[in-house]
Amino acid sequence: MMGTAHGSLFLASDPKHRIANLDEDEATLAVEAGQRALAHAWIDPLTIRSLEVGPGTEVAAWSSHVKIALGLGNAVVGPATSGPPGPNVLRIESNAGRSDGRSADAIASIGLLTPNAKPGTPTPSPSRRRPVDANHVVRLRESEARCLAQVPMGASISRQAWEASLDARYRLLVSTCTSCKATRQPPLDPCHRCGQPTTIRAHDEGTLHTWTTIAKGGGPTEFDEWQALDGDYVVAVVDLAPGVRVAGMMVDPDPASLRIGQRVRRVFRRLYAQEGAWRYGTKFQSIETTADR
Amino acid sequence: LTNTRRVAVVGAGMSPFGDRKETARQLFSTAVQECLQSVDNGIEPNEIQEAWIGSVAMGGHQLGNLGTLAVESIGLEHVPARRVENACASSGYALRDAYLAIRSGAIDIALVGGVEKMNDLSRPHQRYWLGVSGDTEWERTAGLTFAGVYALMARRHMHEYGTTQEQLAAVAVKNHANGAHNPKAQFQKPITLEKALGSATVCAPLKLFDCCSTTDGATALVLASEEHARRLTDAPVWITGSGASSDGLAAFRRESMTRIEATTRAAQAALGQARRSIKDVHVAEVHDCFTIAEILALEDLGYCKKGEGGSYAASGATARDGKTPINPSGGLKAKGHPLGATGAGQAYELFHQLRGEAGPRQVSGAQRGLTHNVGGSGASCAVHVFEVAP
Repeated sequence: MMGTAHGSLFLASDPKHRIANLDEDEATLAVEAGQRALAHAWIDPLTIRSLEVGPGTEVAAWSSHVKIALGLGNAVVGPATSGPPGPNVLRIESNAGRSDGRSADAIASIGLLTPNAKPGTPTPSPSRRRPVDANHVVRLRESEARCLAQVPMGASISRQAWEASLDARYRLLVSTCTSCKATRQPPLDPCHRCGQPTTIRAHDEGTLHTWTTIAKGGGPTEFDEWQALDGDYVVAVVDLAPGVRVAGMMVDPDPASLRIGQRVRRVFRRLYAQEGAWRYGTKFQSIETTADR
Repeated sequence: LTNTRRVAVVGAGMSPFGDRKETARQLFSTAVQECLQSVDNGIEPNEIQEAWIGSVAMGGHQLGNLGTLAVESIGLEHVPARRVENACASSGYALRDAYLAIRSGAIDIALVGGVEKMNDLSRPHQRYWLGVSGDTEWERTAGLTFAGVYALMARRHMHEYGTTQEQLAAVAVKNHANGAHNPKAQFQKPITLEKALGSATVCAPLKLFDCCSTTDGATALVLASEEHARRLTDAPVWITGSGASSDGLAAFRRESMTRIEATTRAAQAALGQARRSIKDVHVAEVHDCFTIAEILALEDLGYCKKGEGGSYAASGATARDGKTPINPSGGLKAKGHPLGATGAGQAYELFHQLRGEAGPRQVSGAQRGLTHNVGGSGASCAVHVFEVAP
């Protein structure tokens, strides 16, 4: 297993074009083998500060500043075939599943990533991470192939509808009416109740309202592959602000530790695959309150 | 509605519920034949002027023109028919639509039905289809189906009011006890509290016995205006109130996750129209797709205060011989829940209960009844009040 590494992010199409430095100062990018099978590798500029990858790890990148970056880039770690030398080059390649030709834009947009983690934001404790295991990666890849090959049944969410909602999903945007104060997530402008303009605000944290553990066979079929690998998963309802709730999975490994009323933070994760492409969105992670720390 | 006419149920039929070998056409035909034969003074099939058929369309295998399939299967191709869909409240709404059509004077005699085939779908297809009635864009993508959504409501109810796993299980035990007396029920064996509590967890805190099953089945009712009802039967079951309400599609977006507002609004409308209160109701068939759903219904219909549904359910008050009998048919839990056929199936039970024809599961002295049919996790609800002359 490789230790913490610092490196640079280069455009695959132009290896000389460095788009980000993988160090704490310039861009809080990292790769993690996460708790859940389909979120085993990710970059979250809010929560991760170091790079810890092994060969074969896939990387998805996302920025709150762009809408389409996530899931469009696969990165492979290893010696660069050209361009800068060294073992820690993260090469971003376009996702073969994309058919709309916009992947180049998305790759370039990764360069927009900037550190935006708040000072004092707690990071997940190391014990919650699982190191990359070669056999696990093999199983993940097989599982991913099945996920990506799945033919959606009936009332799937079209790519157009999905992409129209990315900002609302990634940043948990909530609209509040300037007149009647009605709130809504996903946001609407003008207000869905009175037609007046709304203000729209993103949310990073919330409070656990209720949750359930979904056992095998208890979830939608889109999550079958996930369950086959990792078993049960937890779905939470989170209060973002008075009157506004969202639903999403918890990434905490131990449901027994959850308690209604605790604070949770949004993290960026894979959700499911459709039409050969991954779909990403918000999940939640327990955070300790300042008092706890 | 003023100066409008009274409407009665004059016939009711139901196929056996369960994992059935019959096709949808056969199941529906069985229900309609029994329904027509139950009309005391006889009815000619071609007296039916219009048909409303509740169904969630059997996994999409007959998504379009299902109403036509239904009337064709009983040789009434000429009767204008349509599918009514509001998820699990489909035939509750079909009943309401037919009731309104007769009450308005547009027609005199209507067929209300429901039909669903679920067990011939693959397991993934079943789960897929059970999920399409939720909020597919935001609830489903969070990994939720209805079992999960009701589990979220159950945990929150436990948190706010101290409802217990045992109280949930008491609902299952009571409804399975009732189902044991229903020869058409999917499950006709009593269960113990220990068995319910010891069953596998599906979506914590809900266990297997907190959940209804997947069911094939069909139901049918004949509704008639007063003039025709008095001709067709000596014992009409009058519909004295009909109420319905929609609400947010996803449970998590509603104001409360421990309350189904659509139930309260629909019940207030139906009971208000009937000039009754819930205390006047002798027997009710409520929507117990999950045990927590019956507890919520007890509270939201007004049988007890908010938060006391668990202890009320465990007190024995809802048993067939209790103070307020709930789901003498076995409910969705034991009788079975063929989605679109359920609402009319609840009315089928009350048709026989109020006429004193329910045999070993008869609620003694029942003259006024209420059906409560919920779509999704509370996105839609239809409530009806039925009465016979004392």
